[in-house]
Amino acid sequence: MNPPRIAERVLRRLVPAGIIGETIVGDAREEYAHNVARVGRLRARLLYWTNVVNVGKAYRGTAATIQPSHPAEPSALRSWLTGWPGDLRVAVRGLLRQPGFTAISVATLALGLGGSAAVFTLLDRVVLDPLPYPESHRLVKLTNRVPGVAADAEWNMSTAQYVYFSEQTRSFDNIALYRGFGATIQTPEGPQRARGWRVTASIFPLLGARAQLGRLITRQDDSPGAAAVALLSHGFWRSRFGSDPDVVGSTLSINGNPYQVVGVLESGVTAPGAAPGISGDLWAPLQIDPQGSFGNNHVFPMVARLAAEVTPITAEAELERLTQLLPDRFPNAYSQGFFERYGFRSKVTPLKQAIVGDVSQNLWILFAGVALVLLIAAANVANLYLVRMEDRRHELSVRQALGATKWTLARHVLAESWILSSVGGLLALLVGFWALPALAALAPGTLPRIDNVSFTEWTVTFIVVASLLVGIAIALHPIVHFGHSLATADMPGTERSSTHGRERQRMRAGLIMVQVALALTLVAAAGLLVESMRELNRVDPGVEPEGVITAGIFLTPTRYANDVEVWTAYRQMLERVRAIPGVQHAGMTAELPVLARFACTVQGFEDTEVYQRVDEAGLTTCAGQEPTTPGYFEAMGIPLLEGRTFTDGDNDDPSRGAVIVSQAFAHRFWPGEDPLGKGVRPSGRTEGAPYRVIGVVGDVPARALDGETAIAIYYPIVHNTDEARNWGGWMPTNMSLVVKSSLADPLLLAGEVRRAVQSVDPTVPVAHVASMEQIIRASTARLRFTSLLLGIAAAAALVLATVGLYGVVSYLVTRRTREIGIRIAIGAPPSAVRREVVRRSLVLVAGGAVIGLLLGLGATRAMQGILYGVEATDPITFVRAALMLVLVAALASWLPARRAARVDPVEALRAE
Amino acid sequence: MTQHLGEFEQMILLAILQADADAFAVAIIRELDQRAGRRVDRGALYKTLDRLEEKGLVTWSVEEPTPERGGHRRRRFEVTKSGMDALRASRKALFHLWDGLEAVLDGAS
Repeated sequence: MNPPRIAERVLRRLVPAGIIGETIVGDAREEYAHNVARVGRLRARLLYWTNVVNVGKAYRGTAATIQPSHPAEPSALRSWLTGWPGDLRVAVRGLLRQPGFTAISVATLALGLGGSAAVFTLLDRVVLDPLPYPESHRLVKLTNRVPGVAADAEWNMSTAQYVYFSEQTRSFDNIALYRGFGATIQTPEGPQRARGWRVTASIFPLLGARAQLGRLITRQDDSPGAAAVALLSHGFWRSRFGSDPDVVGSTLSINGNPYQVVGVLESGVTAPGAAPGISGDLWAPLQIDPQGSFGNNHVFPMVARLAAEVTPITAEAELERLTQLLPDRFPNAYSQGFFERYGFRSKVTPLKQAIVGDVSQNLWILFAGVALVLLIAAANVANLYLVRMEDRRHELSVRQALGATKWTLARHVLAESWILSSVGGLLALLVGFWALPALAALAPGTLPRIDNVSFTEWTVTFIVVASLLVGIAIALHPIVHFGHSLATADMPGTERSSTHGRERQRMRAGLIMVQVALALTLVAAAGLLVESMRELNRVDPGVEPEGVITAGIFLTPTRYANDVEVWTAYRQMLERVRAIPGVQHAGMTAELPVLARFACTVQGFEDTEVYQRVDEAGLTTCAGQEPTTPGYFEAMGIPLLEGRTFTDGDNDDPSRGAVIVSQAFAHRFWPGEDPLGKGVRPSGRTEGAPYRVIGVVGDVPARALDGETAIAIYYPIVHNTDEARNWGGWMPTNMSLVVKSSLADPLLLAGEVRRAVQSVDPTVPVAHVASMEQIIRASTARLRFTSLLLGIAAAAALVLATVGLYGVVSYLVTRRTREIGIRIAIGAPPSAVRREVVRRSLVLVAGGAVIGLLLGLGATRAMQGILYGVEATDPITFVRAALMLVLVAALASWLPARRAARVDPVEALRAE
Repeated sequence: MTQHLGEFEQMILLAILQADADAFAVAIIRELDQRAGRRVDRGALYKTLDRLEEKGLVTWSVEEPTPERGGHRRRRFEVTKSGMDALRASRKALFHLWDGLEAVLDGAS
């Protein structure tokens, strides 16, 4: 039963040494044991501490009379503090006397601080700021890992998983499922295309959403068979209904079906992860029937709110256990074989990570880039400041002789550097204000949360803190080194004392080397990105985008009885579009290259060997299954490699069963064989006549220009058997129209194309009009954004480092005027003087370049994830960057060198 | 020459006498608490004991440690002859001062 150890140690220190102290400590122990028995441990400890304090007070009283007091200390501090206003005034006057130095320093710092503040704001608002949902840290996104499809493949969740997890899990307070859908809305101004979300009613409490008018979608609305209701987003209500409150209660025609509008959401409510601008126009219930039939439909994004104290990892463990039980409850959707085959496992990701995960790397890299620029800027100003301090040694020595201490001199130096850095910070705020909207405008539209970007108090905090630190960094060397060099009290006239001079030269040389090293790192990083862009531009998109315009076409399914009627409409639309002057080709397909996912739809093969082969290779038989009309390949410029493309006859006489595959499809499933004539069945069909491959076309990239190659199979619009037409076959009502024209700007055709389509069916919206060139450009927008900004940062770094080098070399030349004059006087040729000056600075640059190469090789490794077609340690890029720096450095030292060579020896000697 | 005693000094000397053979610090504290209803500040106690020792009114001897003291020795205090004289003188002085005031004080209370 020992007393608190710390308290006893304190007591031991307080009591007198020797036997008296020992007995007091012993008494305290005895008392403690006694007290524990009497009043319990806690109060005994408290009493012990009280005794320690009392004993300490009693014995310290005597100690205080022995020790001398220090009345001078606090007043010294006070006088140090009260000296600030005076020093600041002096500093302002001093800086104003040297406007050149002041302006260059402030501008350099403003550039560095402003740039980093702008990118910091971007990072803060997009990556660091919590999501706009209550207790958003508890929100997670649920997906399924399917390594059997591809190593990093992830599927969304199924309705079966939603129903089962809602019933069974304890890890979540709430689970919600949603799915975007295209909505064609009939308005008095004609058909409009809107973006809708089908959601479970649980999503509204999960997101903390509230209705501004009317009510939210309730569990009753969400139960199967309930009347169709819709909720409008605030923006849609304002733009399409002019904020008319009477819209609540009215009926809206969505995709040909009547929906009653029950309410309007508050502004700012978006589905999780929806890109800005497509945050959704209307919301309708999913109406999942827990008793209904379930398929293996992994197309629904799922979000959930973790229960208190539950982490994503424990939630994932619970889901793993529950997943194993899915086949019992949903035998039609799941089997153990399915889990094994695909390695199917659910995954829980914090929602914010799911949303900003892949851009955060880009933004952190950018931030690192601008931080380097800030460092270079600070090094530059520090260097200029050193030179300035040099010139003021007289003054400082005199000050010291008059009784100034090290601390008052430090205050004096800090006053100046802080004035510089805070004026720089103020300007940076302006630079940031100007740069931030420009940054946001440059940023790709697909950047999540870009609408969240604005100046906040954090930006200001960042600038204030960064300014203070930069101010200290600039003043650091003068403070530390003047401190001890002043001890030797340079008196006027002895300032060229060689040891200190050498040390300051080393410092300046060090700063230059650091600058060169940092600049090289940045230039190399930017070089890698530029190289990636070049590689990306070299990527063959597999299409000929020139003169191609695309548009979304959405038939209302209820208006068409079957695929034959759909085809008839398409054929008429295409005929009328082709009749527009300037149009060369027109066709339609379900998914556009570069933009679409070419999702995995399981194909059936007549040839059973295919299954075996695919199994052995650890692949699946899925492919992007694309209903396509005649004219599409011609319009998109996808080359025909073998056989023929579609004709109207393939749809007019569907029993032909014509199908076209991409080269990648043929290579995967029939390697080394002639694909023509092979038999294939689309998803869901296991019997009946197969389709026959009539042609092989070139490959296109899926998802993005640097995305994987689409494994594509193109079917006609009309099914090849009546059975498929009557039950279960798809009816391709959502298509992309592709038009090839001879116009330089194909977008001029938009109006005529719309009229041609709507002349066939006036209820069809023609939406998302874009040229193919725009689509391809958008696909590389993020990399372009990053490389542009890092390129700007690298250019700034290069300029700053050059200016810094120029400044230092000029200064050194001025200092050595006398020496150079003597050399010239005794016959050194000007060219030798020039060479000598340039050589000296190149030695510095080479040193910095070596450090920079090592630094850069380490740093760019973090960028590998965003590079394309180039290694992070690409030697050519690094050598090129180093050469560029050396070249620029040579130029920067050439001008001072030339000045040195022109030194008039007579003047130089007389000046002394 | 007898010395003048403060109230606390008197109480401590009396407590030592009450504790008799047990006059260790902890027992002195207990005596003061139980008999006089006085909670003692440890610091004040030690300082007063030191002062009384300086004046030659108490003396102490060292006793071997007990386990509950964690191996620390303890001091047993004793009132010296001067201490006894001082106590007697104080008592006498107080008696003289009290003399004849019983009626006044009892009436007031």
